Formats: sequence, C-alpha cells, structure tokens
Amino acid sequence: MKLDWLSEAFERDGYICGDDIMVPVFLALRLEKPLLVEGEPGVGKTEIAKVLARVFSTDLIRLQCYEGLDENRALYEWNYQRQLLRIQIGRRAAGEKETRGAVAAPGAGAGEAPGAVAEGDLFSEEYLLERPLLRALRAERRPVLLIDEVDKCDEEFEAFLFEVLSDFQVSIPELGTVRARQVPIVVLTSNRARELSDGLKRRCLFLFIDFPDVAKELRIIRAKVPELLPALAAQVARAVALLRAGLDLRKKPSVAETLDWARALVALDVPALAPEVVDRTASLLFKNRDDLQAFMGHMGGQALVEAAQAGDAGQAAGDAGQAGSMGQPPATAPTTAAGPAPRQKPPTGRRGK
Amino acid sequence: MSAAAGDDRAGASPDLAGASADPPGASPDLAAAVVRFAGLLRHLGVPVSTAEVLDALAALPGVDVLDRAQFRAALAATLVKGTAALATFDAAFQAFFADPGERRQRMQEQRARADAAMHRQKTGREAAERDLTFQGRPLDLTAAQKDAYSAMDAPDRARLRDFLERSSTGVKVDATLMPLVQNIVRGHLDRQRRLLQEELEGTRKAVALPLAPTGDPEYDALIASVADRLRESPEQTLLTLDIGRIPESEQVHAQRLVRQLARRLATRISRRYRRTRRRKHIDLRRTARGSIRYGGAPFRLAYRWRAVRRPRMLLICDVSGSMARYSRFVLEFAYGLARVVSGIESFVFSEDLERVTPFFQQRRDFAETMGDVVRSSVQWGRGTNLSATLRTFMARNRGVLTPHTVVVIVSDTKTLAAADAAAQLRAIRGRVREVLWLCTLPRAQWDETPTVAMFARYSLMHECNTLGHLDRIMRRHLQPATAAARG
Repeated sequence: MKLDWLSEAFERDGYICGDDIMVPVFLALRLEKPLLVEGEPGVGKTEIAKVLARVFSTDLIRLQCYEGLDENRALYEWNYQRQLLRIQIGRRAAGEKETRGAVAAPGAGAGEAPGAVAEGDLFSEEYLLERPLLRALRAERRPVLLIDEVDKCDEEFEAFLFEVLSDFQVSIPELGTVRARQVPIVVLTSNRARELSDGLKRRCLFLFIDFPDVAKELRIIRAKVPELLPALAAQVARAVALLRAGLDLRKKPSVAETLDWARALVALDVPALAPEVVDRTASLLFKNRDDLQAFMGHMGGQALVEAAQAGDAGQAAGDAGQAGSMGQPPATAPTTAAGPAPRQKPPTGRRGK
Repeated sequence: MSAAAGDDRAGASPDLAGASADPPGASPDLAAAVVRFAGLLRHLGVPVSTAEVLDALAALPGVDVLDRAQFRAALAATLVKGTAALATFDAAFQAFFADPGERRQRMQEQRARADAAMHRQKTGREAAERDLTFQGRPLDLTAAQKDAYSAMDAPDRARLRDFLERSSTGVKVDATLMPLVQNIVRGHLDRQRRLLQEELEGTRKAVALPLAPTGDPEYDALIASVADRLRESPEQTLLTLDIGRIPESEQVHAQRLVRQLARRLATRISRRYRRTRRRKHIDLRRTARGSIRYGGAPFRLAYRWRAVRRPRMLLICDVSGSMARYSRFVLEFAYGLARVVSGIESFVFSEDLERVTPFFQQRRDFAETMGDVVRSSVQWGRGTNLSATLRTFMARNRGVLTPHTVVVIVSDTKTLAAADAAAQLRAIRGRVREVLWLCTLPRAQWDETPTVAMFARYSLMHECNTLGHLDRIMRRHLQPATAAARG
C-alpha cells in the first residue's frame, strides 16, 4: 500500500484532505498503531474511521465512550440471565428425573441427569456476550475499531484500554487468553475534555485536525454537495472562514455545519448569498443562542455577504487573469471528487447523498 | 527541500544528494538528525520517549522524506502527542530543518550574541570594580553583585558612587568603617538584583522554556531561535504574563482567552455525573427485594453506584484600589462560568461585601454587565477590610455555605484587622469543602507579607497573577467530588 493510493481512495470516497491528515493515517496503517485524532467537533474525526472501513471494505466496530463505561460494556459479559435460566431448567429436569427414577427403581444413583448443568457449559461461547473490543479482536477480517470520544471515559477504563491496545490480547478467566487474529485498525477520537494519560498517547500516533482553509473547504463542499452552484459554494466557504476568524464564538461552525448550510441553500433554491438568506439560515451555523446573538450583534448577514462577495470579485479577477494567460483553467482551481463540477443547477432539485 | 539536516557540528552539513542516494529512511544521517531533533524537543519541554523516536524512524521509509510536508507530518504524528506541544514542534521543525545557510547564519548570530553578552559582563564588572571603592580600595563584592551594579540605571549608579564618595571622605572617617559601608553597598546591590529578577519574570514574554545553556552551541542557537518564534504566539505570551501588566492592546485578546478558559472548564464541570448502574458492588438488599418476583432467584442484580456531585462555587473578589486590575479578569472568568454553569455565587468587596450574582444572571454581554456592577457598586476601588466583609457574609449569606461549596477568595491579603479576618475565615473553612485563596502577590513577596501566612492557615493559598495560574488552579480544584450513594 502506498500513500498516493490511500490519498486517492480517500478522495474517491469524498474525504478531501492534505498530507497533514493523510500521512498520519497512512503511518498508523503501516506501523499497525492506533491513531489518536483530536480536533473541534465536526471537523471529520469520526469520518476517518468510516472512510477507512469503506476503503478496505471491512467492518466498522464502534465503541462509544461515556462516563462510567466499564469492561463489561466494552469487552465482554456473561449472559447472566441466560445462565440462571439454564441452571433453573437443569435443576427442574434433574428433579423430575429423580422423582421418576425413585418411583421406577428405588436406590439407583442419580448419575448424570440429562438436564444437569456442568460448570464448563455455563461459561462457554453460547453464554458469552461479545462487546466491541472483543468483537474487534476476534473478527475474521481486519476490522476498523473506532473508539469514539475516548476523553469521556474514566481514567480506570483508559488504563484498561491502554493494556488492550498494547498487546491486542485479553484474558477471559473462564475461556483463556484471546489474541487478535489480526491487529485491528484502531482510530481513537478525543474532544480534549480532559488530558489523556501519557501511556495511551505514547501508544498512538497523533493527528490534530484543524478547520480546513477556504480552498480545501470549497473542495469538500463540492465533493459532498455537488448540486450547489460553484460560485455559491465559493461564497459559502469564504463566509464560514470569515465567521471562524472574525467572531468570538462558543462553538465555531465546523465542516459539518458548513455542509448542512450548503444543503439548506440547495433546498431553498438560493442562487447567491443574500443578507436575508443568511439571517434565515443562520441557525444552521450556530448551535446556541449566544453565538447566534454574537453573529447578529457584531456582524450580521449584510456584512458577511459583502465580505464573502468581495473575496469573490478578487478571485474572479485573479482567475480571469490566469485563465486568460494560460489558456486553461488555473492550476489552483478546485476539483471535485465526483467529476467535473456542474455548471448549472440540476432542474429537479436534490441528488443528495 | 532541506529536510535532511544532519549533525553538522563538524561543519559538514549532509547534502540532499546523499540523502536521496540512500534508501529513504535508512540513511544514517537522517536517523541521526531525527534523534537530535527529538533531543531538541526534549530540551524545549516536549516529552518525547525513546519508543516515539523509534516510531518516527520506522515511519520514515513509508513517506517521501524529500517532501517537506510529508516529512513534517510523519514526525508530528510520531513525536508529538498533544495540541499544546504542536506550536513548539512547528517552531522547532522550522528552526532545525532549515537551509544550511540559514543554520550557519543562526549559529553565527548566536555566537555573536554570546560574545557580546560576555563582553558586556566583563566591562560591567570592571566598571563596578573601578567605581565601587572605599578610600581607593575596591570593595569585596560577588560577581552577581557586580552584575547588579552594571544593570542599574545611570542615575542610580551615580547615587551609589556619590554615597561611597561622601562616606569615605569625612573628617573622622578611617579604614575601620569600610566593612560597614561595604555591607550597606552589598545589601543595596542584593535588593537591586532581586528587583531586577522579579521585573524580568514579570515582563518576560517567553513561554516557560528551559533556557539554560545546554553546553552545545548548536542546541543553544536552536533553542534561542525557537523561543523567538514562540514569543510571537500571543496565547502563550498572555498565559504567562502578569495580568496587571497585560498591555491595553492585548486586553481584548486576553479577555477572549479568559472566556475560553471558563468555557473549557465549564464543559468539564457540567457533564452528566450520574454513572452507569453497572458498578462492581452488588446491592444485596435491593437485589433480594427485586428477586421476590422471580421466585427468589436473583434474576436481576442491583448495583451500588456512586453519585458524583460537582462543587458549588462561591467567589469573593477583592476590588479595592490596588486589586482592581486583577478583579476585572477574575470577574470575567466568573461571568464566563456563570453563563454556562448555574449556581455560581459571586461577591465583591473592599471595605464591605456586595453580592453581584444577579448581574451575572441577566445574560447580557460582559461590558454591559461590568458597567452595571461598577455603577451600582459602592465598593469599587476603596480600601480593604476583609474582616468586616466576612462578618457581613456570615451574617447574611451563611446559608450558601455547604459541604459541597468551594469558596474562592481573590485578594492580595493586604487588609485591615487581619487577625479578626483570619478568625472569620476559620469559621467559614469549617463549613465548606475548601477555601481557595488566589493570591495576586508574587510568591517571592509572601515571606515579607505576614498576612499571607495568617490566611494560608485556613485556606489553600495559590499564587495567581497570570491567566496560566488561573487555568491551572481551576482545573485542579473544580474536579467533581465523589460520594458513595445508593442508586
């Protein structure tokens, strides 16, 4: 496997990124190490694991972390209720046999009653509830194991996770040691709610995903929302970048919000950004009241549209100059992952993903 | 591209042709460069273990080391394990893997800087020996004292020379007076040295880098260059700068940073703390009671769980004249928290106490809120009387003190009736989980200020005059407390 191949596979899948993201992902695969991904919510941390699963056509096994998550939930558990039922049934069957046996042949030994339960039977595969970690270790094909929001779990669980990720084996007292058939592709994500332990961090390769720059975000929009008019897509990318840089927000709009907004603009059949459109759809970009107020109070739709369109004019002039001199589209022009960009909006609404 | 920078202490920088001729990543020059780079990161305070260096070396064959972006990404992924260290990594990468020409220039600059410093020190000490004499005999001074003299302003130096001249030329002055005069001069120079040190620490715009020389001129040059690059990062600067010295131009940025700190903390303390039922300890009583419906078989197990309570925070903030510049930031912090976490009680005081919680609950922006607080407050900028303040507090607000409360007092400890205030503090301490005292006095001055020791007996006293201090203290002390409880 080569880095170029992986980059192309990601791009084909609609995950647009540069070497800053691709190299750590590639190295994690190559060195068979877990990849720890940090970044603001919505920049595409979880998506990396999903894309990896699609690229290698394998299972995505997801372990969502939360406070109080323990080994029972993450690794395995015995099906206690079923074991209890089995014992009860066994006991009843043995009782009946004994009664019948006593009537038929008094003094005969009970022997192995058909319903009797050996302890080994109760702790067999049949009563084992596999949880994500064990499932990943025992999978037939090398799976992608996504450990999402690892910063939300408790420190004890993190220590346990560290152990699993070091050896890729666990011991189940009743069954013995389970070794991974193949080392799974492990992706951990964190929102930095707390610092992770040094041990866990040392075990992983690290990737920090920042907000994309305007050019990259434009490529993402055009890959994910191809039905948005190209000029509008450029305005959207610039507007979101302006919001991130120019406002003091509790939660800056992420790529996820940009795409939601882009899809909303398609749904509303908007030909170009206008102040009233921005004001009407601002709730898609801001996820709380304070941020919405900050936007309305300090910037507002009018200023945002003007700034986004000012960039438009500048770029158009630059593009025209380059295209004119070279007789072909500029090298910096973004390309879509899904072939040439549609020049016009399709007549019948959405082709959504 | 100039990624392949090797150990060129011998003066021979490995050229790119050499790096590309070898199989990529197997080049011993490149491996040596990576190991040295890891060493540089360690000098800069980034923890890099041997395992991580091995990872980096294993990673290199997989990437095109001649592509600077790929090479950087491979090293970043393997050597750096947190966003905090990324800025340092980038600065170090740019400095270490620079063009050979740039590196040579940097070495020369560093050498010139070191030579100049040496020369300054030498001439300074010679001047001290020449100037500081008693009846023509030079005083016995340590090197540090001589350095302190040369660092003094010209008028101060002139005053000292003047003093020596007058005290050595009187009618009844003889050589026996020399030890006395010498001690006076030494004491003066020692105080100057301390003041200079404090000044340096207070205004140093650097991150906490271990800037002591390593003995390796190339490392020293690199560290100096990385420190220069990092100094340009405003966030790092603001976190380590005395709050009272943050220039007007940086105030907006600093306030944004304070709000970010408050928010980050708020997301920590407002998380849901009811834990899962699946704990290790079975609750026998409830299990037995629940099993009746299954004919006595313990079919569903009940577990004990631990209730986790987040602390209630109570802020008492000194807004007397000398403290106002700190209070503003602390109130900003409280304001940020109050917006996202409910139940923070805030008070301000100087001669007496005032409750400001309601201002923070109106969800208006900070400037308006502060405007209201300052307009309606009679306490702003007066003298300090903590004793009266705490008496008023106990008389009116005793009810808010619970075993889950963390009381945070922000003050420089300088108050009237300190003994009585300490007694009041003791009474409060007995009713709450913890009293945190954020003391804006630099730690160096604590020994000279008796009130610090008085209040430190009944509170956890922390030095807090930078945003970095504030962040660290809040993180450490506003952790949720666990209390065993049954679910």
